[in-house]
Amino acid sequence: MERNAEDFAAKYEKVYQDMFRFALYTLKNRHEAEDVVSETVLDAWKGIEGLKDENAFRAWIFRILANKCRQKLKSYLNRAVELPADLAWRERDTSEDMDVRAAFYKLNDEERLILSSSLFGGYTGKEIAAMLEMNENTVRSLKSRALKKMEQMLSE
Amino acid sequence: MDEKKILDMIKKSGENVDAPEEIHPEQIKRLLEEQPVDKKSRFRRYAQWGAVAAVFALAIIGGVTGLTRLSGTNGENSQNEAGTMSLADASQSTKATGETEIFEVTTENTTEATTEKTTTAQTSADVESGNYAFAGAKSYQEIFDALKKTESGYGGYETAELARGTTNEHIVEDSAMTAMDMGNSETNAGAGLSYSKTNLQEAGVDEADVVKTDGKYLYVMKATGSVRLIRAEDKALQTEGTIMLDALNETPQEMYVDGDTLSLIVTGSKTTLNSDAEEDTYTADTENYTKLYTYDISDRSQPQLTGVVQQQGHYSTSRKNGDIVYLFTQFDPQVSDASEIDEYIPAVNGARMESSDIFLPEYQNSTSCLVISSVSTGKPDAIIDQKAVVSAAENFYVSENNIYISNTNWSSDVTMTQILKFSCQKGKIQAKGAADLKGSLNDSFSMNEYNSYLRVVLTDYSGETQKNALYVLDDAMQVCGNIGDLAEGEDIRSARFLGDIGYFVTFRNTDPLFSVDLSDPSDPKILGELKITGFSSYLHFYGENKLLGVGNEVDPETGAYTGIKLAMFDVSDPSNVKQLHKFVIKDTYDCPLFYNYKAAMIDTEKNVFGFMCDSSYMVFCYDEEKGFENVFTENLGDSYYGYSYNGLQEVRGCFIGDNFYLVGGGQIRIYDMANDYKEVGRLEL
Repeated sequence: MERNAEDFAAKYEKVYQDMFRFALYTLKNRHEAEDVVSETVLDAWKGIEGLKDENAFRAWIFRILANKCRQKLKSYLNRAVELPADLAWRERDTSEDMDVRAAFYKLNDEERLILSSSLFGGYTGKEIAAMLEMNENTVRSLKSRALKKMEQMLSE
Repeated sequence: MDEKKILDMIKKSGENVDAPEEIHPEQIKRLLEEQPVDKKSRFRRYAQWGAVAAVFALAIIGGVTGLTRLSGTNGENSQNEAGTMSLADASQSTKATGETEIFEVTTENTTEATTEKTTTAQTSADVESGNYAFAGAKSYQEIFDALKKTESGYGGYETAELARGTTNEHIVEDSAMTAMDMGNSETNAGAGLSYSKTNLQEAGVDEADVVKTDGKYLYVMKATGSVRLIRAEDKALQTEGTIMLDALNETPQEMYVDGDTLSLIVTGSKTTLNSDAEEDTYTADTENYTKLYTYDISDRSQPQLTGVVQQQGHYSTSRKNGDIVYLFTQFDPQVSDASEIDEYIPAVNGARMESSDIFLPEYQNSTSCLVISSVSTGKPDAIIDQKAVVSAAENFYVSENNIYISNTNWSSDVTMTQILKFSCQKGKIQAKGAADLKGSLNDSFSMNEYNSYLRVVLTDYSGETQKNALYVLDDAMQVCGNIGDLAEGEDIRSARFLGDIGYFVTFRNTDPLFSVDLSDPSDPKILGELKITGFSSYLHFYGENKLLGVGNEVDPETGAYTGIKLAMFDVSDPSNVKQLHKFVIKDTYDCPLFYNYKAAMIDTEKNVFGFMCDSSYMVFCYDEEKGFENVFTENLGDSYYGYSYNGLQEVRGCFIGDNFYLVGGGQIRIYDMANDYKEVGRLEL
């Protein structure tokens, strides 16, 4: 694809909401999510000429984003102070949404990454497995385990 | 509440989230228009966003010399040395109590009827290890019942996934499985020039890769379905022959080259549409298979296919020992009451496997089935032996005579790792035994065999704080020695064993490098502990008495990652390990070496090693006085996202004589190592 800001922005417009949701749900913090999306955009912009198939833009940019989120998560592992988790979004947020978000944030890094890859990234189990360097079956059982945890938390 | 409903709830909660204005498309467009156009600039600044600065910037900080902090042998770490876990003994004493439900020992198994049940191992928190023999199933029905039982333990989501069959849009190398072995690349100082070899976990057991060299030719696999045989002469490269795959639905994965024989591993899939006349719907069944093509390449310009074998499942990994190739694939059985036998029993070379060749371990965390077969390059149409085990195999370690496969069991609060052992001699594959150990493995380097003893290091995350342990298992997979409660609050990041000494790195905010004396298998002892900042994710013995660590540097105050770190350790006295030099590549994070050791080129004799670091390939050498020296850096960044999606991982460096070859992005670049790595040529692929 040619390096053209207009075209890039048009492609980006179709995916940025999902990108931000993916990042927020994975990293739990809106500022971090915003940063990571920005970083992804700059990387993508830099590499856009290498993207042969325009239709693969979504999958391609999500791959960059997912990698960046993974790196962020890794770097958080050793942080003394946890970043604040952003639960409330705006007035029309229902309490149910907040409950769901709170429960989701209690999942561990891996579980959040797997679920958000699937829900907001639109990845299949096999693609997630490839992306996270995991066995596909591991991804499946982690996903299943995460959802069981969610169920438990939400029914409490 | 079912899983679908929960997924929907999460999705809905996400839909109420709007991206902040700062990243709206108009803003982004404005920002991009302000970006500098110079593509070559490696030191770009993104001043617009303070926090986002220097995404791709690559800065190199010189080696910091000789600063080591050493703490002596830590007494508390060896407190548990006599506490060999007793389940193995216990199970031994209760053997042959007739409690055998699934496990019947067939003539296949050389071990006696030690088919005791060790279910306690997974339910009781105070039991830390277990051991048992395992044997082939009695009938297909028995396998079906076991699969059914495992599957139903998973609930609706898993079932739905399986029922659809495995889709196969992207046939990918399952790097989770191949990623974690590592090894010694050796210089082959044969008749001609020295040349680099694939980085292996176990010396003498070859591993397949996407690029190979034999000192005269380069063999380069292209994801599009071909292998180039390229003659390397002086400073020039010339394609002499090409192997093309005829079938469009097949993708090459990895290969071996041994003399005049090239073995190519290929995956493929076959989709059949089943119509349901009443419902007016179609369902697609996709079957994955793996093939091993063997070619005679004595005439490089005209490779001749000499044989092919096929087995069901997607490719996991492989090994080659002498003339024998061992193929590992993962087969996903379809388990429903309507399933035909062939839908849940894998086939090898067109023949359904015998039930007695399929093993059902004590517990299964998956219905997936690992299929192992062996083929001789001298008889490339025939399978020598085949075995399968119901297991979602995670780590593979193959020593000269044995195959070790690990998987994790999360089914209870206590995470246990199950290690299955098969012997593999001259292609004959036999079940030897299994052990359950508390905790989980970091990677395949957490396992190592020496003098028939298997040494394993694990991290146990189940308690309030994580703990680590080391086990020594004998030939029959019984624990004969262990050290428990190591480095509380930390977890294992890398391990490497050399003869009687083992080294492993644990991490919290600093990196203790432990050395262990394993000369008495029943009494392993911690010899020393060196604390330094950051941690090593990969360890490699580098010449005599030296250990190279590649990992991350971490700010001990904030815990932030600051870059990729090289460290050289002096291990001449294992009880007093010292860090000789370190080198931090600042602001770099991603290094394929961390998850695929084969992505690195390491030749200790030539004193050179290289790997990808973010988007650059970097080569280093080591000087006893001066420390690490970065002799070569090539940024492939501008095009690397355009490679196949795992393009970064597929970049390889190798050398023949003084010519260094960088293979990736559809070309081979040639550099003169004797002349400051000056680029002397290129070959487009």
